[in-house]
Amino acid sequence: MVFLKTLAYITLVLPLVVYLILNKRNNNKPSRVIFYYLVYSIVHEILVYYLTNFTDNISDSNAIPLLYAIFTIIEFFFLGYYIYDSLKNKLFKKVLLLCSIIFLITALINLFFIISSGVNNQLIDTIPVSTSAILLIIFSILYLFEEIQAPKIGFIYSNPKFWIIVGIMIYFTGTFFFFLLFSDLSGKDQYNYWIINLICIILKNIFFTISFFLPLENENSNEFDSSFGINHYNTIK
Amino acid sequence: MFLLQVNNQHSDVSVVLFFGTIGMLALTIGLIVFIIFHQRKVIKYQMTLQKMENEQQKMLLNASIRLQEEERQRIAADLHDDAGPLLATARLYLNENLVNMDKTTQLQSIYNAKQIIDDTIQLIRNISHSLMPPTLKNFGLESAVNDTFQKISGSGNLNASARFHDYRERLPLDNELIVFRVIQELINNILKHSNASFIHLTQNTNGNKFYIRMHHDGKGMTQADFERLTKSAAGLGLKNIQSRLKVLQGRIFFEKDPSQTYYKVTIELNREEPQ
Repeated sequence: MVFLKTLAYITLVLPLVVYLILNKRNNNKPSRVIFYYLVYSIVHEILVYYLTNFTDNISDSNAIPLLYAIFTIIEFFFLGYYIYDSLKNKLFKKVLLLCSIIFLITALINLFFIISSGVNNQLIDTIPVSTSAILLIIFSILYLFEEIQAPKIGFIYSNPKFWIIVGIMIYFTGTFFFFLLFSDLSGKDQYNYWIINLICIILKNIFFTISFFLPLENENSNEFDSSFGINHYNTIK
Repeated sequence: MFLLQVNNQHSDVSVVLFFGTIGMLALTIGLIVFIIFHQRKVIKYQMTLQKMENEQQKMLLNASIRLQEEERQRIAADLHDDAGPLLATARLYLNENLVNMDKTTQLQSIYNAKQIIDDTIQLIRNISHSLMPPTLKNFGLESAVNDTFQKISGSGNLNASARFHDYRERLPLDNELIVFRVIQELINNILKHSNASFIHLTQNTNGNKFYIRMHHDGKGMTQADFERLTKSAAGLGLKNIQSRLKVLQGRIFFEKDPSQTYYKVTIELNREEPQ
């Protein structure tokens, strides 16, 4: 577990290092969103680590659950914005926007309850985390659906966005049941099964690193000239 | 092994968690792999399609270049074989005029030279007309087609008739010339290969579509034959028809009449909206 934790911390830094080294290649809005998300994740981890190890009576306070609840909301908005920016279909964008608003309202209500309760023994509140996971999985599927609809010359895996989406999907599908059943698990099980979260974080960070390695493709040049290719082919039969 | 470490009290939850996670991950990985393979397949298909399109473009271009070369050779042959000797003969007569001082002989040779120059003018006019028929230029497609059909009927071997139902507004001259050349090529094919006893041409419009239909009772071809020939090395004239119609974004259909008596060719064009 300690090894996996260490590995998870290292892989959390890895995409950031690649981003900074290949800054010219990744100097675009979508990459910057993921970069800020990773920076925020590190800050969050440091805060949780600090509160867990260097604060007295932390188990009696609601600081860590509050941090996790805020993290869930901000993580959703970083990744949701990334997918929103990558989508082209206006209907899909509207669906994403609507779902995000509904999620924000429910997550804020949940946050209000955590703050007002004062003491919270539950580390992770399963409902907002699971809702966020389901929504992000659906958004990712929408993106992939849109990608296979558009005729392109370049392979999908040569697109950096694809690897970010794969990272998001693997992470949220892998941890979905864990976070959904988190409150039903005993303290020992929660600790034991935390390994799932760590493995998924490592995988997600590896995929994000791959994404930062790949140059952002020129979306105009890689599309087939279908006006000449297919339609024109049908002109004379 | 990992499951064994888990508290027995929560074994049901653990099973759900374990299999749920494995199932979700399997589904996600399956979906991603499916998308990758599907996209690869689509790309390969599109590449094949584009390759075929490029090959056809190349064939059409070659056909068009060959046709242009043939046309140039024909004009060169006409000028060299007919106009050249005629002008040389006229020059001889005029030379004779300089040498021979006899008035009668001089007049005769001038007259002969004039006759030859008239013939040359007619010859050059014919060449020029074959490049751009004056009837087409001055009176339009309808007159040019009627003129051609009258000449064909005049030969007595074949009855050719044309009827334009809705041609109050002429097509642009360049388009008319292309359509006329396509009609000429089709007529040529009918005369050469079909043994038809009649050709009937009709013109119609439907919305912004412009149609020309030709019927004949000889041996014709179907769309499948046309596609096969245009994709093969043969069928230069048909490739020429195809490349000309491509310029107008037009289409051509070859079919056998349901009565199995006639062959029908339909040319479909998009009529440009008046600006």
